[in-house]
Amino acid sequence: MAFIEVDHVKKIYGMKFNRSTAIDNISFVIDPGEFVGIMGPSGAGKTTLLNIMSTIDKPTFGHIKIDNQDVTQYDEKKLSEFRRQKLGFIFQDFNLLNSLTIRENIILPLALDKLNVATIEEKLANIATVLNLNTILERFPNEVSIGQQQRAAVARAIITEPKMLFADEPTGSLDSKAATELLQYLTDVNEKQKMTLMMVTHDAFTASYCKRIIFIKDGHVFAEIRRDGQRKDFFQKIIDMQAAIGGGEQ
Amino acid sequence: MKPLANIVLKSVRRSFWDYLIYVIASSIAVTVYFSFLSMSFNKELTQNSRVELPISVTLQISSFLILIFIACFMMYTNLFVAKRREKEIAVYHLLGVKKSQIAAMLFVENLILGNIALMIGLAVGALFSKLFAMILLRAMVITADTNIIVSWRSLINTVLIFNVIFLVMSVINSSIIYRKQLISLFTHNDGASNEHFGSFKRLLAIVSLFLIGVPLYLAVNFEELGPIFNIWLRRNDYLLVIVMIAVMIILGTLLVFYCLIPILLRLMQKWHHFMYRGGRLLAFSNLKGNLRQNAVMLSLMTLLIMFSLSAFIGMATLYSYAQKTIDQVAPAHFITDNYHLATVKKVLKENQLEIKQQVTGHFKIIPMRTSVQLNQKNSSKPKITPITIMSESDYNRARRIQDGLESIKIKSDESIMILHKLARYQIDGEKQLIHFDQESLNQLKIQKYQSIFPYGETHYVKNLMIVDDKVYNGVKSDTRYNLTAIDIKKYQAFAQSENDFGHKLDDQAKEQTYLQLTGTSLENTHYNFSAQSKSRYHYQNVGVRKQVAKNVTQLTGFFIYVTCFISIILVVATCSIMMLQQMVDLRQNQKTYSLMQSLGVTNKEIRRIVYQQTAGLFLIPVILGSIEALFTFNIYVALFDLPNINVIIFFWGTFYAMYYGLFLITAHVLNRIINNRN
Ligand SMILES: Nc1ncnc2c1ncn2[C@@H]1O[C@H](COP(=O)(O)OP(=O)(O)OP(=O)(O)O)[C@@H](O)[C@H]1O
Ligand SMILES: [Mg+2]
Repeated sequence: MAFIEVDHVKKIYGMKFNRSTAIDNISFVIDPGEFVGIMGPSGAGKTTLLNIMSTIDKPTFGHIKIDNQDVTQYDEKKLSEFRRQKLGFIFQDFNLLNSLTIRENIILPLALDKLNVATIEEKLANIATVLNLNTILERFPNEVSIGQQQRAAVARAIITEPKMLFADEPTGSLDSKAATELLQYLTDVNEKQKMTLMMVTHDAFTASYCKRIIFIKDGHVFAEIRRDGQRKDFFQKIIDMQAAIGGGEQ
Repeated sequence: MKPLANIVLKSVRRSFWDYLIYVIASSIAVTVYFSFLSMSFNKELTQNSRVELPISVTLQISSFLILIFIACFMMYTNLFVAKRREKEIAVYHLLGVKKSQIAAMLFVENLILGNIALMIGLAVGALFSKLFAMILLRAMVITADTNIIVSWRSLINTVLIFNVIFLVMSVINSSIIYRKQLISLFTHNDGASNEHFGSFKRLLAIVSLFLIGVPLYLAVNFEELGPIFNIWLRRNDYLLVIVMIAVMIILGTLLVFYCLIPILLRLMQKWHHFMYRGGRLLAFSNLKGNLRQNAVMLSLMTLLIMFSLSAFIGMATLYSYAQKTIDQVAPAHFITDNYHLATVKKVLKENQLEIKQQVTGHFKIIPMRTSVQLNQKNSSKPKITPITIMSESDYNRARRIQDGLESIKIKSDESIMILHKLARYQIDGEKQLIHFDQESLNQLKIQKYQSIFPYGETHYVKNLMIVDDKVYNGVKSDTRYNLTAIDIKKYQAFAQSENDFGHKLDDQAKEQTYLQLTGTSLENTHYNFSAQSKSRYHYQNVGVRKQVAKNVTQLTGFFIYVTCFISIILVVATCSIMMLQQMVDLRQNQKTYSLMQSLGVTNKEIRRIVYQQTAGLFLIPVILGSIEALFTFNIYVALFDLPNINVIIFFWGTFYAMYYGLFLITAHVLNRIINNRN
């Protein structure tokens, strides 16, 4: 039973003379409650793919079906509704709003949903404790470290308890302790709340928390590996695959 | 040099919007100044008016005021643009471009942009000045050819002045590179940060309330406080009080935007039940950022709005004052003294104007000695001035032809003084001692003071005293004259006709009758009529209502036009700069809006957020400015007259409608940019 269906998706940037194909005819399927990693060299098209799957970007060709609904055909209103109710997204560059405090950034999606203040405060208290953000809630994004900004971005994405979470390098700026804690938390949420997770990462250790990893290179699916035993063995498999895939574009 | 040129070219392309805002702002400034200046140098305009109006002077003072505004305005835009380019400058610096090279680049760039703006401004200004002049001539009811050509004098003046401004700003800009540390250029950040509201800032916030509150209190109680200030300053110096009020309001407004509003917003932000409601959080924080960045601009806007709205009240005052002035200066169609009565009647007959009604009053002029009581024993050195005496029944007879005259009743031991309005304050504040050389007059008590003169105030030497008929008959005086007021039939037709003889009579009126003061002591002081030498005591001997009405209309037309012109131009200019700044900010905040969309905010909600925050930005200055302006109402009432409320409603209404329009345009454009981009 497929939850997310990527169906012959192609993405071409630019027009006429400076066209470049970021994603070239990719198809795969993700089951509900899966924890899938996307890996590949820099410029391979990972962010592009994630954006398309999460409806933030539109494919040039092809379709994305979520729960058997073709979201690429959604109009503006339906898209907003879908994003608000089902989707969580952690951006590679965090995308925190500079004009809001960390607290306001995190509760923004809840405020947009017009939840009552007591509920908002309760959810915030929970997530802030898990992600260790309590001391910096009243500060503005450029008054905290990059790692803290990243955790705030994570908090904003999961405070709504979305059905699916797309994460673009969520641990990129974290130290290994913070990264492990975050990954442990994401695994918990994935297992307990049956949240479908898609995560882009460069880091083999981070990737080893996934159940399945799709490798892409130059806009194509290069390989796919599944975890069926210990995390340690999986980690080794990832390292091997990374070696096989080689470096970046050039 | 080649790579540098490349970099510069790229940076020009990148900061296109910043340059655009600068050029547009400067062009607006040039247009306003140039068109205004060419108007003030225009001969047709300044010479066609028959009244000796201070038109040229007023226009030149106005253009000076406009220039000050423009200088501030451009300095501000310049700083705004310069600040945005700090990072770019830092990059050049880091790439190893020499400081002097960067400075030279900024200098030249600024001069070139400035002169582009100058040319655009002059071209538009030449067009506009013709338009403005045509409107002004209409407003002043002057029929003249409006073949207004571009005035070279104002052209050269404008070019010179603006090049000085551009030069100063180029120097300021290129000195940035020498003034600032490299790191501070890089770390200059647009993001918000927690401001620390130290006790000093909190104190300033309270001071700002005080600075606005005190002038408002002064304004409300202006009439009562006036005499107090008089004693205090020993002078009739209302101007000083007004200047004090103005300075306090300017400072107060600045502090409101710098301290009070940020603190209030911060408090509001802690109020989660209000804030955590949909897009409000975003609209509010955007507004907060905007207010913080544009504090100077917003204070300026508030003050301009206050100035304009207050000037409109002034217009309304002038309007009602003008209507009253016509009635007070020329209560009847023709007024003449006994020496010119025959001439006037002859002219009327020649022009086939039939007399409908005619009233005559009799006057005696005597010397009066006045001094001011300084303390219990001493009084100031007495001054001798002439005073005109009129009898009660003559006064009441004048009411037949003059509606505005109050009815009076005088006992045989009383008198009524009729003084000019401003002179009354003097009397309120000081204890005046009055002395006559005739005992019968010294025994009179002053029943009350009035300010409307029978037959019109210009027909008296100085003040007027009304006494009981018997007392009047007993007054000894060598100096007597009569005034006759004549109303004609079919006045409307006469007033609208091109018939210019009213004019000729008016010219005759200019040959005033002079009084000669002879003798030194009170006892042997006499006044005599004499037409030989000009003494400082005289009255107007012939008055023609048609002429007075025409002059007053010209005067009001002129002032209403100039005021409207200045206030509307200034507010529109400020609004348009706000709009441009919003657009530039928006380009930086694109991220915010695309993020909102990925969080599932619909276009409609984004639209609401944009409208909300723009509304906040426009509302705060207009509310504060309106409140401040409303209080100046009392100053006008105290100093001049009750403003005509309909005129106020008209001007304020038009102003609000325009302002609302500017808000709608700004919000609409911003919304279009956001929703099209994503
Ligand atoms: N907006 C854009 N316009 C044009 N080309 C783009 C755009 N965004 C990405 N690209 C190009 O598409 C390709 C894929 O980019 P993408 O951001 O998906 O890479 P990525 O795999 O996420 O890389 P990284 O690991 O460095 O984040 C790259 O070659 C990139 O240059
Ligand atoms: Mg990426």
